[in-house]
Amino acid sequence: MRSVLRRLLWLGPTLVVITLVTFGVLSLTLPVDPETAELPLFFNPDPGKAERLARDALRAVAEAGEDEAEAARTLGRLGGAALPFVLPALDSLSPDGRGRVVRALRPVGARMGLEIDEHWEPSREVLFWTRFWDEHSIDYRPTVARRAVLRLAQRSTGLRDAEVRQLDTYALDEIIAQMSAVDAHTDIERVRRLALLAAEVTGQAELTLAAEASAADAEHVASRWGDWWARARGSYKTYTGTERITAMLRDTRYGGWVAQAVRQKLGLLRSGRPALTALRDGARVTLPLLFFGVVGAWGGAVAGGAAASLSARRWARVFGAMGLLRAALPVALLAVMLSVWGGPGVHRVWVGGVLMVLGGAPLLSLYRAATADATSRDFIRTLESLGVSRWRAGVSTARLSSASIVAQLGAHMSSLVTLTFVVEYALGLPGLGAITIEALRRPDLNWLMAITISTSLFVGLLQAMSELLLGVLDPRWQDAASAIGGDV
Amino acid sequence: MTSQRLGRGLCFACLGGLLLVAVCGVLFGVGASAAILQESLPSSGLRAVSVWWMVATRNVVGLVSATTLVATALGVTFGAVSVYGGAGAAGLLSRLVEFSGAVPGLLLVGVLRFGDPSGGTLALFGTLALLRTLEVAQLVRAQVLTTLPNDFVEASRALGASRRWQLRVHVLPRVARPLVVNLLVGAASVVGLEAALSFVGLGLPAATPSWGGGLASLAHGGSAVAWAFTASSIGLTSAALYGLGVSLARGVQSRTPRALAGERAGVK
Repeated sequence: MRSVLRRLLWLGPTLVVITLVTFGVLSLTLPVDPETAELPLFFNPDPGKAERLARDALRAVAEAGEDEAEAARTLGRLGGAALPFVLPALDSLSPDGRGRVVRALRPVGARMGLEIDEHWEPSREVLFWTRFWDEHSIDYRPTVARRAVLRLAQRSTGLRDAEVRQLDTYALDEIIAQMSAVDAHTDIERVRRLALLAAEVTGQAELTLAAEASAADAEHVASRWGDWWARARGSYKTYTGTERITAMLRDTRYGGWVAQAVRQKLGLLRSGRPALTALRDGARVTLPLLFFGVVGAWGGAVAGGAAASLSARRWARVFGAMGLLRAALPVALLAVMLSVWGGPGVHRVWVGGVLMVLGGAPLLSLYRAATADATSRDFIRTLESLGVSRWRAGVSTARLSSASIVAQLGAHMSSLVTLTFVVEYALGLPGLGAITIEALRRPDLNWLMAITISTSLFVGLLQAMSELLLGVLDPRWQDAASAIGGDV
Repeated sequence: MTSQRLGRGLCFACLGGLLLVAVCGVLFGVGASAAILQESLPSSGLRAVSVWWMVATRNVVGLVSATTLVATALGVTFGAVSVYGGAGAAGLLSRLVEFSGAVPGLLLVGVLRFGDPSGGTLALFGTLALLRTLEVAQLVRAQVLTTLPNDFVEASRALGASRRWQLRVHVLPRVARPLVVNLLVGAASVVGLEAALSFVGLGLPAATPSWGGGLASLAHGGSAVAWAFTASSIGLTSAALYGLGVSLARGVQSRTPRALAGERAGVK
């Protein structure tokens, strides 16, 4: 029992390592997504670059260098998030530099609903921004932004809308956080209001909600904003303390995938379906077939091995012929030959049969070897010499021999999964195999991650289960496991 | 015994014929336009099918031979290192076996394909070689660990035999035969796996003729000749390799000291 618990406890870290390795390999081999290309893979040593971007842009605009136009665009894009670093620094600039900076801030002022006249003298515009900062600098704090967005999310009024607009991009974190959790029809209006505001602030016009949108549409838009924010957050935020340490891991491509997987049921596929939904639908076809294959292979191996132990010479020839036949009909050949007969219902029977035969053959060899070993054991011979019936001795032998194939159950699962996927594909069944093979031909990172996690979890759980079963069938295995530190 | 010899002879004949076809593929298939051959297989005539068959056989035999050779070299080295290299090497082998058990071969080859500049050949070769290497390493480790504690090995050590002498005289002969059996049965499974992966489009590149690729072309119908060539190549090769392996395995069992002692005592 202790080794089973140990295996179950190790399952979590093992899964994390598997996701890290798979994500790393896929990210290095698949074409880079342009939206996430700037983010590091696993570790971001410098997360939250809003302050650096704002100060660099401020310097470039003030000095009127070659990159002034680009820097002005950066200031306009950063908007409210840059104001806490730009406005207090205005006094330190030359009068001309100040004038250029406030001119660059005009689009921000327009977004914020500030009444700035284009014909104003630069000195008047500087004075306006200085007074604005004197009055409103206290609003540029996370708690204030949270309260303002929460009030707008609850009910929209002109005043509440103006409050959030004045914070501009500084409030994005809260706006996107308040968009999530679409449970009822009443949430649609909230998402529409906040999505529109976020779209106006960031220029992401395609991420708004239409007038007749459903709750599912609202959920989809909210999750797309979540994805966008996971990628863009670093440009609008400056982190300190523990938040900075968290951001070092979160503001990465892997962190973005984890966030998306948690938010959108293991991420969205190319078709727009959540991976978890596709996994659940595919598993309805694949898991019963796999279960039938495993149980059938195990039962067939036990029955065949028992028959062989009763009449070794005759059955040895039969099994020899069966082994040769199985080798002569590899899975692809067998599947193509079977695809000619019957419809989808019959094809499922074929898949089960193929798994039973192809999966059972190696187990049968193991079982025969284990039976030969078990029958030569002293206690079995003692039982027979004490007059115990052949049937009773046979049951004891079968129990011991079963232990050896149960021990191999986990190790055989990965090849059984490959067999199932190939046969499903060949027979056109809508299981996990067809989606996986398609995702491997036309790369779909979210599906490949989802199937790797679920397969590893499935095999891991099966290994734990087989170890538990092993302890019941042959308690000596547990002693052996304890002697070598838990690993059988 | 006669039927066993006959079976073994048939297996050798099959594999010899296959090698001959592969050599023909090397000689005559160089200039053949491979992609067109495989795509038009369902409607091809006998001559075109024959050329495709020779080229496909050459490719599959090359892949299986290369995989087996690499897996043998790496597996034997890794297996020996895991015995003599301490707990670290043995632990690494265990972890790698666990990893290969947790990730299906189909996913592994598919993921490696994304970064494969050859379009799939290297990914397929790498996956098959990795899986076979781990299997061979486990077998070598098990055989060496079973042999070393025997009394005769202890006795030779007591008489001053060096480790190298023990390996050459006691260990290698006891590892060689099971290893050959494993390589033959493993080669049969590699043929099947290549066919399965190429069939689903994750094996050799589409432009490279292979038995699995041919099977995929013929999945929705085709000439009987093309079917016969493809199906018999896969089936007979797998069966011949497996049959030869099983036949050798029986030879191993019948030559164990216990069996020889039984024969001497007249027990069958």
